Amino acid sequence: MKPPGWYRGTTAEGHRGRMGAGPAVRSVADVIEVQELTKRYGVVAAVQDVSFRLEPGVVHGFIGPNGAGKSTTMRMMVGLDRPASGRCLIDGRPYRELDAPMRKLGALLDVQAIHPGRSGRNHLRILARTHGIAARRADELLEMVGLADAADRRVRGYSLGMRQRLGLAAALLGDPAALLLDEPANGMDPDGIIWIRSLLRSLAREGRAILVSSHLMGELAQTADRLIVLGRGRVLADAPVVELISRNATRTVRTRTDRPGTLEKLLREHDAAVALHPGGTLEVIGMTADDVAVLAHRNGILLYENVTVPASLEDAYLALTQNHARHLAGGSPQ
Amino acid sequence: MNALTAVHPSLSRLFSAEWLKLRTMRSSWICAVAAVVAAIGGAVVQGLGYAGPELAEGLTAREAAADVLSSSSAVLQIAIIALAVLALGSEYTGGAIRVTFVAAPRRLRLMAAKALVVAVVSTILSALTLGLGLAAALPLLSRTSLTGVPFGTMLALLGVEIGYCLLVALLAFAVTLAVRSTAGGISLTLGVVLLLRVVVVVLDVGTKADLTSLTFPVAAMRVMTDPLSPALPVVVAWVAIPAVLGSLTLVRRDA
Repeated sequence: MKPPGWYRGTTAEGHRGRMGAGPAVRSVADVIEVQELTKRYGVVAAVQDVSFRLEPGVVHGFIGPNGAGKSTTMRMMVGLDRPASGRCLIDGRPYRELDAPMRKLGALLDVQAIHPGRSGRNHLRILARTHGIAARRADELLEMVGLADAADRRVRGYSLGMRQRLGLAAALLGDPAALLLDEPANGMDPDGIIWIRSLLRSLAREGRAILVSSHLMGELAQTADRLIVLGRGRVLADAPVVELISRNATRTVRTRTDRPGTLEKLLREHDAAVALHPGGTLEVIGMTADDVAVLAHRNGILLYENVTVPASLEDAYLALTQNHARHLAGGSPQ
Repeated sequence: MNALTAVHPSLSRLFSAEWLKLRTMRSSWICAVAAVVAAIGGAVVQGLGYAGPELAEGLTAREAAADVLSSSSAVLQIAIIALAVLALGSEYTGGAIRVTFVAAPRRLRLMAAKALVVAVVSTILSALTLGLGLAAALPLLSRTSLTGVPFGTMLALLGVEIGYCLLVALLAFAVTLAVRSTAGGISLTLGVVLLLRVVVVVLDVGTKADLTSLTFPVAAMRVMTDPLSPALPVVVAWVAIPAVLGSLTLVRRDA
């Protein structure tokens, strides 16, 4: 398989950092609005009053545990599932009423949903014909996603990563203003993950609105500008990545000292939560690194190390979902 | 038009996409080859029967040609059913229908395009294979002088069988639309086309009623020989009921 090329019209730059505002080379005014979407299976509400907005030029990460309602929400957005109430408007219209839907929104929802007996090239050409798109566009995209050499092989013989690439090519066929991608990095090798991260950044820089779900939070933290967190069918948070982490993750201070037992006792007296590890390292929650340093200095304790451990998206996510669970159980959210 | 130009998925574009879809499926070609073998085989077997004087006695050339075509289409219809069912059922089997619905979210228009492709392909396939079957049987019929049917009459006989195969294809498509499964579509359609008549004949004997005329093959053949016959609403009902039920499900259900 050839290394993937670059999407025509984008610059082949790497990751530009969170919320970086690269110049848009594509003017896309459409905004996608999900308004109070609800989906019920019998008495169970899989998705409940989910609302968010996808802005042009922004990569929106869509996270939540299995069964949170991410895929169901995405399916409702493209009209595959019927919501019990609510709607999704693309350029002011539901997906089913769009004149050329592939031009407005490209979707990669289920990579297994491709006829296994057909070649990748024919799969794309069939989709292209529905919108009168030239067959050479399919060939260009196969080249771009690195499937040119496998284009005439039956999809049955494709690996999961290759199917993801084919699904991405299908989503990009109509040069859409927005993309919905459900776990696009699933099954990809590390090179593929780096490639898709760069691709998403490039596509967003062109002015496209992108919604990408993933259970790989580290991956989303590097790719997304904004996160929409779903839990038990509801939106728990919708905020820029940095804000979400700083607002929800608990700060931890890691300290090494010559007298760990004494420092631990002192920290506990100041209402900090402390974990003493076998090597003498202390992990402190509830005090800043500066506070720990001052306390140690006043008591003549030597510190070898005293740093704030950077909060991760995983930490923020866990804190958010735990707070929500406590809230549902009747406790007060922190 | 540059490569990126995208326009709305009209019926003609969906027809073009569905045509490409059908011809890039290996099972379509297997069905087409089976149709050729079945149609020619059925015609030759019937022709061989009439090549001997015992069975040919008292037959006119027109009756012999009609019987040859009838035998040919009797086996051809199985391949036609398989083709019509697979055109839709194969998409439901692996979930590929979801990708299709994302590309073409107006589902009724999409199904109309699929049905149109099935109708056109079934008609062309029937015309070619039945014609080939008849051509293969004619030398056998000539042994007992059962030839010399006027060309116009021959075309009319051929038209009846082609029309019948088209109706069978539409029934198979409608049934598959209702059940959304290849196995279900094939077994139900074969049941309606081949088995139901046998069961109803037995019932007729017991009930002294003419239920046989309400079966699909009998009513469809009557309509093909006389389009304004009382069997027309029966045929329409056989095709329309599963088509309407399937369309309602198609529009209302999640994909």
